[in-house]
This record gives sequence, structure tokens and C-alpha cells, in this order.
Amino acid sequence: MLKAKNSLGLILFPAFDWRISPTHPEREERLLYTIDQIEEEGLFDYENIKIYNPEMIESKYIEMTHFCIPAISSIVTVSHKIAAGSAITIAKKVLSKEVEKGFALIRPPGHHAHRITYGDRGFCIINNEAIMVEYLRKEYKIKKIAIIDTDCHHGDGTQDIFWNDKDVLFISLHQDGTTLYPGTGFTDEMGGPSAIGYTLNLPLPPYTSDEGFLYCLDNLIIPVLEEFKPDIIINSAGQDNHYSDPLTNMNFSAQGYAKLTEKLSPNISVLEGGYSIESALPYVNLGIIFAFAGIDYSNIKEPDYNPERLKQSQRTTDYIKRLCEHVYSIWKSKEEREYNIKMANQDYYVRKKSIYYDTMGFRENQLEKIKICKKCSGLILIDSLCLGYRVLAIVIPHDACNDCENEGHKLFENTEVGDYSHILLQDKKSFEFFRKPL
Amino acid sequence: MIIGLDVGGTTIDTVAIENGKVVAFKKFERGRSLIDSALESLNQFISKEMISNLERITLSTTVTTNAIVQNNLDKVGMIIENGIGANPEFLMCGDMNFFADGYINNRGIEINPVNIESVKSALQSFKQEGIENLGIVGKFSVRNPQHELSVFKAAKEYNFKFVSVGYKLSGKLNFPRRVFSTYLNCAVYSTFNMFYKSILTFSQERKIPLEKIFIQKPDGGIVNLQNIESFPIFSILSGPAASAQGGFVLSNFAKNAIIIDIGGTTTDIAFLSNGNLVLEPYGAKIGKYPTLVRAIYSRSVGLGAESIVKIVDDTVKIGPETKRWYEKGKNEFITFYDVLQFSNSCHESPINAGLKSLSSQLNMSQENFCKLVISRAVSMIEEKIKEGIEYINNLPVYTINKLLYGEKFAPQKIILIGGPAELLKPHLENELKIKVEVPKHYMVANAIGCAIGSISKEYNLVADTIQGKMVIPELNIYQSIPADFTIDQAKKVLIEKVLECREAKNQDDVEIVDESSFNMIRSFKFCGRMIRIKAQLKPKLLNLRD
Repeated sequence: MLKAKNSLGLILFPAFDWRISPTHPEREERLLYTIDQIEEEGLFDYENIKIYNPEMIESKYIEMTHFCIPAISSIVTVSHKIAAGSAITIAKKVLSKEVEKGFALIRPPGHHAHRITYGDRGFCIINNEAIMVEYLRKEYKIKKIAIIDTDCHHGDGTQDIFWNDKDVLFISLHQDGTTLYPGTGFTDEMGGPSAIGYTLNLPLPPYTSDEGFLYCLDNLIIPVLEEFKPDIIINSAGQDNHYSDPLTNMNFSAQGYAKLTEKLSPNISVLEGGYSIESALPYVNLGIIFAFAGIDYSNIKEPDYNPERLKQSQRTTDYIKRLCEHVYSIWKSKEEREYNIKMANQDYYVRKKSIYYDTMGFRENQLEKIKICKKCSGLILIDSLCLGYRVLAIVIPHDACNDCENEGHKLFENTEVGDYSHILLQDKKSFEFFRKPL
Repeated sequence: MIIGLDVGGTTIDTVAIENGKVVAFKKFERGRSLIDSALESLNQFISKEMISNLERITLSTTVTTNAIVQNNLDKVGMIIENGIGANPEFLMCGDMNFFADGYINNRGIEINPVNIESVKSALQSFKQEGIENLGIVGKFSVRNPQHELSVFKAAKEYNFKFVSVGYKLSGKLNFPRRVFSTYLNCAVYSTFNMFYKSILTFSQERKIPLEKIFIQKPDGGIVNLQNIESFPIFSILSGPAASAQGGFVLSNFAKNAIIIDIGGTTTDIAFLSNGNLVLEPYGAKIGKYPTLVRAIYSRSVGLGAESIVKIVDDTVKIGPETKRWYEKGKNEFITFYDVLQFSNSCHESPINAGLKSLSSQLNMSQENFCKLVISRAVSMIEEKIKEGIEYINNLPVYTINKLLYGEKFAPQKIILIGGPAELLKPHLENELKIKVEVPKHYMVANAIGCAIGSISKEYNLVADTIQGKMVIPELNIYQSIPADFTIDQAKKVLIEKVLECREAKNQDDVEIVDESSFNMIRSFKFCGRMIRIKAQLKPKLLNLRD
């Protein structure tokens, strides 16, 4: 039997019987050719590449990550639960050392799902990686986690959930938000008052090629990771940077994705977007799997691959160089920035957010308040208005001090339902969820 | 009358079945030459009366398997079109290998043509090196065999003795397995041919028409000797298939069960799920090669009646070494069968001295020592059973429906066959806490399994309406379809084609086991359908009446 250099766990769950609508990009056909390519390549025969079926997620882990409005049961579909469950299954296999690395090839994706979720944004309802992070912290007591989001769209949901969380370093590479959905992910989005610099965004110009992506990796991501020293690296592996993707305008190739995976060497990858189902996904996924497993991937090239045609402009190269320098300076000056921001906002740090649900065509307005606390990252209070609901969401963070914890519970107890449709409390410290009215 | 002959590791088992009843059976000692002793046994077993109303003879043999295991293989030249994917070096299984350029993609669309001139010069050099057997394999050839066929055409002028093309071996995707299967199919050609010729002589001498002689395949099906000439590889690993099928039939077609065949050298374990014998998802592994040869999934333990019981580092070890009774000096070896027998009767017997010596090494009574040995053997079997159940229940599923509502395999009983079955039964039952059934004729169950085998096959239809093409690789069908072709039409066509090829007698023999239809969207518009249907011939096994 064949043997790969590294043992690798795979979840291949194409959900052949689920779709949003018959012509939607996120549809049954999406992983069909990938599975064909993987089967033809004989990947099931490598003795240390193991294929697992996903499990269904327990609601508790969704509750500890999201506020689902009006309720989990009314917005989260079975397929979303399986996709999130897949992330947990693969995490279990890696953490129990059954395999060294794990890759969940699943659909639908999740990285646009925010902390509060009213439904589908960018084909996402719940955030697969974020839920996995909560699971890893609870069940495996993992402290420092890095999430590198390589999807072409900004990972705004993941950014939102870990915005004020210093233990989770979130770096997103994506096509510039002025040219692509969801229109966020600029360098000045760098985290909440207690986690400044732990959110890093690299908006890349359209037509960035392998060269640009790998430059960011070598000159920003890897140095930052070396300094952050995470216990685990998770890759939100979107494959829509591919030159043939119908929704985006980038020039990344299967070879580029394989090199990126090899250099980043994440412990776990979870598939996000990627809608060039025939010209890109079979080759990109195979390249990533081979790179993960330490199998020679030099022969995996798209049939029409032409590196000359995909070359990025000198202007793009120069821009990316400056971008990496700038973002690295944010990382380097994070303590100073945190000090300044805490001095300027003595009591609460407040931001107003307006979140557009593209697939459903409605908008949510939020007022988010983060307590400036000297002992912990601070209590989070969100007042959200959408679809006629008004939600008060209270988050007690993992590292909450006793004062913030008590304050959160008191606020939950003492706030009358009144104008609110939902009063919800996520106590991440004690891993408990509370709701009003019951 | 149907006659089955199964060549095992130790004995050759024969059986005659008439009107659903076992009318005769006999075990023969296996001699040095496998083919000779098989034919000799058959000659002795078959009487003139049997021949006069003979329906068929089915042979299950290990000739080709042995050739592979003993590396007694022909020289093979391989033309491999690797295309995009893994570095192809690991596919160099032939004595000479040529990697052709050209690529056909996952939808069967030609991306790059194959360079026939360079292939021809490779063929030339194969011939110069005295290679007479040629294998031709391309990536995704089951979606479009055009490149394999053009190489095949080019090879004609070089007059190879035996040529095999990959797409004909199986309709399943798995390129490395297709390469290895094609290679082995070529490499066992001479061995199989020798066997074929011996049977030919036998059939002429005994005046049995060749149409009545069948070979057992590793998936439990049978194939006429004449039809297997181009596919000698289908005669491998028939032993486990014969025993699984024998157990299945003798237990009156149980639904969910484990079939255990304890033989002289090994114990083979097969699984019966929802009334069907579980098959390997891609195919059998032969020697070091994974292949696409359809086969019954079975686990094997190096434990049998003739396994030697030893004490190594103060622990009991059973097998995998064996000794046959006539090779055994008095009291010199204790076999697992001796232990079972002693445990059953506790009678004084010639083996007691050996048993005493072994048990005293562990400071145990003979009774306790036997208990220990048996419990060790049962746990060896149990381990493999668990492995199998876990494996079956973890086979990948691709739909939500199957993930959530798919049935989990949970066996209700064990069907135990093979020589020592009666002796082992109480121990398995006690330790595994599961019902164990030892059917009548358990001694020759494999020969019965071999005799009653039926034609079993799988068919894969892939239709792509954008291209307007449909393929059924197993039936060698590659044809056009209209743009509005539907899944219902596809099912109908598949059944019709199977009937046309006379592989099934009527519609009810063909069962659709998997079906899907994907809308193909290009530039956000619906532009066609990808339809995939999998069908199988329902195995029609003879119902035994006693």
C-alpha cells in the first residue's frame, strides 16, 4: 500500500443531496469533480490518509459561539450542523493524535457568520472554524490559536467573533474589499481594545498571483506566527482565489495553494469558498491534500495552467510589499496602540456596525460595547436590531475577571424583557448559555 | 448436477449438488502440484453418471494468486498515461514502463492528445527486450477510453502475445489500482494459460464441454472459463469468496451476520449486511498490489486447525506456522485442533505428553492451558471481527440522508463453517456472546459456495448532457445522448443495455443501487446534467433444500 510522509485525516462530505437553489454557486455539484479526482488519484489507498465521516454538532457548541436569532432551530439547517460537526470531528482526530494533520472538505462554508446571526450571509449561517475554536478551548484546554483565512472574501464573521480575543490571532488575506463582497477587511480593522493587533487584514489587489500570496506568507504571516507561537494553526481554506473562479478576480493557482499549505503547515484546514468547481477545485484540493500529506505535488497543474499569463504586475508587487510592511508595523506596535485606545476610552469602547445579509437582502444594525477592564479582556454587550427583533447579547469572555462576570450576570437578571425580543447571555468562562424570555 | 471444487491451503474439497440437494462430497489431500492434484481430485470425484446430467463445474483455485505471491510472473511492458496528479514513479510496476503524454479529464474530455509516435517507439523497445505481454492504462479512461484504444490499435502491428487495456477491468475510478490490475492481468497470463490448457485437456478427455466449466471469481460470482481468457486476474482470491458464499447459502440467506470459515491454515471472516455480502469498496489487494478486481471484503487471521501452539516468552502463541498431521512426529507438535479436541473431550490421547509439557511451562493444568489457548484464539478472531465492523460502518458517505439515516451494520449471528467448526462453536458463543450457527455440510461449505455461485456484476453509467455522451465502461458502451436526457431515461437505458448484452435474463435481475443527477451550472446558468447510476445483477444463488 502507498504511504504518505505525514499522516492526514480527511473529511470528504460533499452533501450531494443539499443545495440552496438549483443554480446557486453553493450547490450539489460543487465537490463532485473533486471527489472524482481524489478517487481516481487513489487517495483512499494511502495507508496513513484516513477518511472520516462527519458527526452532527451538539447545539451547545453553537450556542457558545453564536447568538442565533430567532433560534438555532429556525435558522440552522442540517447541512450547516454537519459542516460545523465536521470541523469538530477533524479536530478530535488531530488532537487525539490519530492523525498529524486534518482537512475537512465540506460544504456549506461558514466564515461570514458573525457572533449574532440571523441567517445566511455569503452562503454561511454558522461559523465552522469559530465553533471548532470554542470546542478546542473547552475540551482540550488549548489557549493560543491562530486562524489564517485564505479565502478570497474577507473572513468578516470570524473577525467579528474573535475581535476582542487576544488568544486568537486572526489573519485574513483577501481580495480588496472595495472590489468584492463583503466590503470589509481593511488594515485599520485590527481588533478590539483588549486585542489590538490580533486581527490583521491583508487586502490584496485584484489579479494578485502566486507570487503575491507567497510573499505575504513569507514576509508577514510566518514571522508573525513565529512571534505569536500558537498552540494550533487553523486554515480557513477558501479556494476562490483561483484564476478561474467565477465570483472573484485573483490569479492564484493549484501550485500556489499547495506551496502555501506546505509553508503554512496548518494543523487543521477547513474548506470555505471556491466556486470554480470544474476547472479549479479538483486540482486545488488535490494539491492541498498532497502538500498536507507530504506527497510530491509538482505534477498537479490545471490543464490550462500558464504561469506567464497569470503573472502579477510590478505595481501589485510593490503594493503588496508596502502592505506587508504596514501590517507588520501594526503587529509590532500592538501594545502601544492598546494602551492608547484604553486611555482614550475610559469606560466602554463603542462601535456601531451595519451588517448586510447579501443572500437574504436585509440589514442588521448593531451597537457593540466592550468594557475597558484592567483585569480581563472585558464584558461585551451588543444591542442588535434586525427583522423586527431587538436583541441584547451579553458575552462574558473566557478570561473574565470576577467583576465582569458578575456584572454580566446582573445585567442579564436585571434587564426587563420590555422592548427586547431576546436577552441572551453567553458565559464563555463557565461555558453556560442563558436566554430570556425562556 | 452442479459440481464445485475448492482448492484450499490444505485440502481440495469437492461437492455435487442435484435438485438443490448435496448428493456427494469428498475432501482430497492436496499434493505438491496444485493443478495436477486439483484435476486428479476432480477426476476421481466425477463419475460417468455425474457427467451425463452435468449442468456445470465451478472451480475455485489459487493458481494465479500463488503465482503472484511467489512472484512467478511474466515480463510485462506498460504504457501509462498519467496526466495530472501524483508523481507517477510509484506506478512503474512493469518490467519496462513508458509514460505517455496526453490527458483526459474527470468528465472524459480530451485535454491533450496522446503522442502515438512516441508510444510506437516504446512498443518497439519492449519487443526488443523480449517482452510479450503489454498493459495499456490511462487516467480517467473509464470516462473515455479513446487514448487506451488508440494505443491498443498501434500495438497490433507489434504482435504481442497478450494485451490488456485498463478500462475493461472495472468501471470504477482509481488510477493506481487500474495500473496495477492491468499489470497483474498481463503478468499472470502464462500461469493462467497453463491452467487453462490443463483443463482443456481434462474436458476433452472426460468429454465435458468447455461451456460447462466455470471459474469462481473473488466477488462470489462465477465466469465461464472461455470468457475469462482475457481476464485471468479475475480468477484470483476465490477461496474467501467461496467460503463466504457457502456460509451464506447454508444458513438460509441470513440478513446481517458474520461468516467465519476456520480452515487448516487460516480463518477467513466475511460480512453479510442487509442480505448482501459486503464487497471491498474498490477491489482486492493481491500481494503488494491494490487492484480494481471486485472482491468480497474479508479479514484473514493466521489461525487454523493446523496452527502450531507454542510458548514464546512465557506467552501462548498460535500460528501462523502450521504442521499437517502426517508431517508431525508423535507428540512433537501441538496444533490448535489438538487443543480444541482435548478441551472438548478431556480424554487421554497420544497428544497428552506434548500438551503436558506446554502447560507445565506455564505452571498450569492441561485444562486451564487449553482454555487459555482457546481464549487467545477467540480474541484473535474477535479483533478482526471488530476491525471489519468498524471498517464497514465508517465507509465514507456523501449524502446527508445516508449520514443521518443510513443503517449501521450490526450482525445478529455468526455462521461458522470449516473442519473444526463444531469444536469451536461453544467457545465463540461463550466469549463473544453472540449466537453461533454451524450449518449442515459445514465441512465442505466452500465447495458448496463455489458450486452455487452465480453471475455477479456491477455497472456504472455516467451521462454528461453538456457533452451529449454516456458511458457504461463495464459493457464497453460509449454513445451519444440528447441534451434533455434524464435520470429516468438513464435508468431505463442501463437496464436495457444489460439485458441486450444477455447478462441478465429479465428486468428484475437488475437492481439500481445508487443514483444521482447533478445540475451543471456554467456562468450561473443551467447548461446540462451529470447523471450517475450504479446497478448490479442481483445474485441468484441456488436454494439448498437440506
